[in-house]
Amino acid sequence: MTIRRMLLPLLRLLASMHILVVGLLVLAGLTVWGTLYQVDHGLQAAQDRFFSSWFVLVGGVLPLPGTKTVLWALALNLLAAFLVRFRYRPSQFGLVVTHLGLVLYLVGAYVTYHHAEEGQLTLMEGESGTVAIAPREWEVALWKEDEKGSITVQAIDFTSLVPGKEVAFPTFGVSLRLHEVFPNAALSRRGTAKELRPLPLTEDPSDNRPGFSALLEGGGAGEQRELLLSAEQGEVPLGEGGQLVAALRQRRLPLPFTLTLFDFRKVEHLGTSMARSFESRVTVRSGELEREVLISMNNPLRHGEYTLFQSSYGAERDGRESSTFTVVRNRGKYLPYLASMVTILGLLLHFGIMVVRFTRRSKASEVTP
Amino acid sequence: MRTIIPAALVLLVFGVGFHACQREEGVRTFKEVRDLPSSGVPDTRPALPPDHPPLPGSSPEAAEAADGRAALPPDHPPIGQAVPDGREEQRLRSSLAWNVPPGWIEGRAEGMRLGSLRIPGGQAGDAECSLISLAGAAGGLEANVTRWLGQLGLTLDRQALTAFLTSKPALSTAAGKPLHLLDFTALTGREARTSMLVGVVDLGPARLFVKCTGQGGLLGGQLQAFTELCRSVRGGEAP
Repeated sequence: MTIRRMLLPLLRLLASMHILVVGLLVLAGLTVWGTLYQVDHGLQAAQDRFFSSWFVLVGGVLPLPGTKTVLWALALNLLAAFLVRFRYRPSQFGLVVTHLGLVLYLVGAYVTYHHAEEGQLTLMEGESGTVAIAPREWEVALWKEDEKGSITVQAIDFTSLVPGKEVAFPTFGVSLRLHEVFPNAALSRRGTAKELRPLPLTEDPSDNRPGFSALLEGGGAGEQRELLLSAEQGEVPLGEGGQLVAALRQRRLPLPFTLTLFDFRKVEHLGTSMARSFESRVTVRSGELEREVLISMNNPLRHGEYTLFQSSYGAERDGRESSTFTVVRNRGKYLPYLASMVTILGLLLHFGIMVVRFTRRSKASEVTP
Repeated sequence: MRTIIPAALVLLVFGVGFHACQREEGVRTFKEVRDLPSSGVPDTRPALPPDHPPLPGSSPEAAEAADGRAALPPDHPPIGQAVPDGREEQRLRSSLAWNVPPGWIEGRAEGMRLGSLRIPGGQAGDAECSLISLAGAAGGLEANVTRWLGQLGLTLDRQALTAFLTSKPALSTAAGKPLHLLDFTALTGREARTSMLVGVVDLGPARLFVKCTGQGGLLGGQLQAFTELCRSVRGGEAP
């Protein structure tokens, strides 16, 4: 009872309509500001400053809440509203369902932010690809190539590495016992010896070059040995014969299909070199099935959890063109659709209940003298 | 109680959503396919006239890739490049000469290759060297270095790339032509399965690309010989 008395004022404060209104206004402001900022500073910079941050510094001094702060405030506000503000009566059922839809929107935002994977895939006309590259993330990858050119890869995200941890790559019978792990480091050589020197993290995360040292077991050498791997190196053969290779490289995002680009087109505004539209004609081969798809600026390719957006292009001097796709794997991509359906259902229920109540009241007033 | 049940329902939605959509942790296993062949899709570019040679690209590799498909007719200027004059190019190519380092094996020069060399590497495998000349700046040094880095699976940020480009010593050939020597083994390490040594000789109207590809240790051990090869390049003067 005492806890309830202590919690109740806090929950009422959290459930305040003021938080909701101010939060929505700030969110709208951040969206407009971030969109305008993107024009001069690019998508990544806008995302980092406005949409992935807790605070936005105005003029380098004044901190304003960032999108992350606002969304968490709205989520807590909604949760508190479920506890202390909503009235669970049949007449309010539609409103409760509508707010459950809003909860689903927030869950979708969280899942997309924390668990979606993103990469880039660039293909020249006539080329095919099965793997996208995430330029801002790193992985430790071991691989072996067979006679047909097929490569079996085992990889672990660099962020999963911690000193003292043992990482096993069972397919190759190799394990790593990690000693030092540096998110940014310089590789230096003294004669045949190499060492990693930790560096401070850079402002732009994509400029960091991680590295680690570990005790390597297995891999054909049949004994333990020290392994030092840095993103500044290329691929390093492990064991005898050089068939098993390791690298600390940009994270790969394997696709469950093969994408082939066979034509890229850039249409310009008449008399200018300004692009009016970009489009790529591709085929998507998944198992025995193959389909032809046109990917353009507002018309992405959707395949299961994967969405491919047209994001860039290039041209060689011999006239061959390349097309770059942003590949997003989002396991929660259906959550916004589900959230929209639940919200609409809630609103329909609420309006339905209101209409029924209004009709009943009207009839009641007709019979009453 | 009436408020606890909906709140628990909301928490359940949060929990199930977060759990079901989590990214895979731990070691992932997947397949990659290297050098995927071009599929049988139609080439939508305008067709070249019959018997027309294929168009080489702006890079040394693209020019080399045109080898074996069709050679340009005699006196034909390279296509897609700014060449001052076809005969001048021909003269430039035929007047070039260099000294083959001891122990290196000279191969046949075909197509766009002016020269082809092999460095015997024993168990590590041989390193392959090519000498190719391209008119003009051939895309520029930085663009070519960026592409070679990509071929080695390396990425450098702007600062590191500038440092790499400016760290190379100022060299010239024995004939006094500016020479850019790029030692990629310093980046890949000598244990790398694939590394590169590249020399770019500025001949004035053209650039000569001397490029060796092979195991890092083998190339690192041949750096001195490679430098001598590049320094020995002579001829190629514009008339």
